[in-house]
Amino acid sequence: MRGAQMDPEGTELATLDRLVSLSGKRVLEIGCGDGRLTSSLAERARHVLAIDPDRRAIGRARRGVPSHLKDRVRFEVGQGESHELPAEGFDVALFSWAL
Amino acid sequence: MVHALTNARRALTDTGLVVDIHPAPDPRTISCATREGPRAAGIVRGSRAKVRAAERKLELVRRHGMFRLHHSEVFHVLHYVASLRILRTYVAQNFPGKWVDTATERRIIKLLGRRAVGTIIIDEPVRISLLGKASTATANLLY
Repeated sequence: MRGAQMDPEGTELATLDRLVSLSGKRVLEIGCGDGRLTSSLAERARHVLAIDPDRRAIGRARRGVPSHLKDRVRFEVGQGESHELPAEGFDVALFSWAL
Repeated sequence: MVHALTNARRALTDTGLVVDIHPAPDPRTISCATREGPRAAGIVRGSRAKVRAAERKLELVRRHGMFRLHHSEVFHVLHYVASLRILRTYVAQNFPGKWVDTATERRIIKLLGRRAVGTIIIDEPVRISLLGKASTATANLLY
């Protein structure tokens, strides 16, 4: 949104980095929305599966991923409650503003 | 969304971790940047029911033995908006069911002048919780 900025200091990611190492990890991001965090997670992780029930938000998120990270991120439209996920396929599940 | 935690649990390795980030129950405060430094203007109004519900869900999955709490802390995310007009829209779009009350708007106008253009800061307390997957033997009792 023009004239507005959320967390330009990067406090959220800095806190996450301080507490969890995502290096080499397979990350499940539930409720990714328009991908506000997804690319940053992909920069750190081995792979990210990002899901959200909002198809248009997923479209925006997909377009926002830089080309060098595209093979590390997969987006799927789905609900956290019912989305079919591979058993024991992830090291970290992230709920950001999604519970 | 307890079911989302159940679903995520199945998808995690035995050493897997849930990271939950959601607003803390404390209010979001609003301040204005002035020549004298930041000055308090008020708080973002609205129900905290959704936040309390999220806290209850985390408590529930812990009590049921699905996850163990490794760590929890509150940090502050700052949102910056350039005028009172943008603040109203930003709050409506980003904090569903929340609003800026008249007293806070009056205070912002007093601090920034009649056009209410200038840096307005929303300070949002956010909780981050790290939960480890508890043993399958215990958690299977839930399924």
